Amino acid sequence: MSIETNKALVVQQFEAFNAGDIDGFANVMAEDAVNHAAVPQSQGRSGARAIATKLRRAFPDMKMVLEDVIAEGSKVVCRVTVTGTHEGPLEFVKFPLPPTGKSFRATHIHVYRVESGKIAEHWAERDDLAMLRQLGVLPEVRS
Amino acid sequence: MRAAVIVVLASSILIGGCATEARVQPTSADVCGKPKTEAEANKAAVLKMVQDFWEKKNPDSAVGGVYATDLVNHAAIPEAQGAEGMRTIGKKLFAAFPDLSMKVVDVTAEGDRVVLRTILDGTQTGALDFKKPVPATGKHVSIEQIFTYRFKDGKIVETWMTMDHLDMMKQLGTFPPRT
Repeated sequence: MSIETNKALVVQQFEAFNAGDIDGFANVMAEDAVNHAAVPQSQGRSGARAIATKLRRAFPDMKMVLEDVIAEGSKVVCRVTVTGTHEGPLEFVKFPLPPTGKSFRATHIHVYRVESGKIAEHWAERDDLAMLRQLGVLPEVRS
Repeated sequence: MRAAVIVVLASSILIGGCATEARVQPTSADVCGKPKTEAEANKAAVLKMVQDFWEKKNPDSAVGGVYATDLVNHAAIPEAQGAEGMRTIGKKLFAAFPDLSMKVVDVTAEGDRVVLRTILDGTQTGALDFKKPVPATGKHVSIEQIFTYRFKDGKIVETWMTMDHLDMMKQLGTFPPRT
């Protein structure tokens, strides 16, 4: 697989997410994909499907805009600006949150490893603290 | 196109006589044993910077060599921009975490970009003198970060970093914050 093919696969997943196409989002993942950014019970393709479903329920207008796509060998890195309005319950294990009606904007960097035309491994760093502050669920740190 | 690339590679191998891995996009600094692509040269520069900064704990020498004076650091406040801002950040980090170390776990480079996935480990025995100060907690933290660097003319001109700040606050015991 060329790096351009790998990039196209990852970009396709972001486009599916933004369009609310959960199947399209999940289908580019390997059945047994390892997601280092997810809890143990949300691994693999089925875990990816569950995560995307929960995100779209909590933030129906959620968009991930690709700011940068960098690839080498089997890896693809994406820097992403994420925006969304919190209109439904967020049902993540780490921070369940009833809808706040507020919007957020945060930066993520995602790293993917592609194998046999599917995403086999995923790492991410997300500024969840910035997101929670903008949703108004955390007080500002004293300055 | 593919045929042309193969011809170029074959020529460079035959003429150059370098028994090295075939690479495209040779630069003018294309010498046997030296990095041959922009991405490889940038990667080597970032890894040397990390070594100087984190292993030698010497922000002054590490920053001077590779960061542009007018560096744009998207992870830093407006008062801490440029190479000088990076020196200040480094000194403040080492004052708060004297044993701070950074392990590079993954490197990805393409064109003018280099990405590092890293793990920062340290014990906060001193006050962290950032804009939002954190008094010494005595706590040990282990935090994963991902850095993206953009190079121009051999210098880092722009950098982005993301990390789980929430996780760091939890590890330092400063979460939830006092109101």
